[in-house]
Amino acid sequence: MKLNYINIPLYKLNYVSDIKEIKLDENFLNQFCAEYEIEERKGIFEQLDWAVKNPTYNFNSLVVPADKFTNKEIYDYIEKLHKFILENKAF
Amino acid sequence: MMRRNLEGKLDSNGIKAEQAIETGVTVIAPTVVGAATAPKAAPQSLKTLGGIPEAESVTGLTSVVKSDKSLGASGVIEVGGKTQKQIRYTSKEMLQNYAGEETGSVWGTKVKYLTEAERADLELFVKNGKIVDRQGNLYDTSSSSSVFGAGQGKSIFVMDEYGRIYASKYQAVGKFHHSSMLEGKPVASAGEITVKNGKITEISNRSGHYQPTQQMNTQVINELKSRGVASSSIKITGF
Repeated sequence: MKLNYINIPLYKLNYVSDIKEIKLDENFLNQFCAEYEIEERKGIFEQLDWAVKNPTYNFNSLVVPADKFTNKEIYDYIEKLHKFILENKAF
Repeated sequence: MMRRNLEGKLDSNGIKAEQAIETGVTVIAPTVVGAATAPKAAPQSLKTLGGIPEAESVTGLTSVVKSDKSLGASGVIEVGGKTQKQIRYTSKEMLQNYAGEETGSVWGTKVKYLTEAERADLELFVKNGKIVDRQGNLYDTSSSSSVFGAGQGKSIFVMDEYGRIYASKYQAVGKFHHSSMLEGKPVASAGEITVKNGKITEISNRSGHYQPTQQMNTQVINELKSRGVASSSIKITGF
């Protein structure tokens, strides 16, 4: 799968020193839904869904700051985000 | 950090003059050779802003601010009816990860790259020590939203190698980034800026696309100081 949409949620990793700083809350959800069209949100979710099923993929090869986080840390963030979007039916 | 290596013939002062893309615009650039990181001072023979008599230096770039000679970038001057751009600052390329983002290949969505006319609307100027927009209004970032500073009243900004500063109150991942303002070209500074009623309270080097060093953001501080901004109260933050 060509991964591009997934870079959108991963970009915030550039701006934090700890992934826990990214709050998956109502504010995040509102911004996400306001900024991206339904087709774009679907694209993001589909790629998150693929990523969740492929934990050994080298996520550091995506648009994330080089070697700032381990593959496991990025995967865990993806998993939480996937669950958050799914639970809130944001796609 | 990468420096732009300009090729061309040099005169006896080591200055290259080449025709810019824009019609009627001549670029005068100090020689850029080697890996020096500090901004190269213009040779004494070059008419820099500081060296040009007041009557010859015109730094305002828009019809609104053109009559005020203190407002515009220090590296953009007008001599003999022609605009001359003098490279004054070290610049850094955008990270290669983002190349092609305007086509949709990086994010799925297309990142907007501004045209020159659109970019002009985002240029910031200095008037009486305060930051103003193109219309001369005091700039204020209270309503701004950046990727990480969402809700915190921060605009994203870039400065080009001529000292022109642009800022956007809007940033959206995959749609509008620091790279949007200079079409993905190198920047001399980039990050977030907080401004209250024209007074800068904070400048950071937070730019995922350029990841500038703090040294690079010293360049924007120096540019602002040269235009009359009091920098002592500006909080410098970053990665």
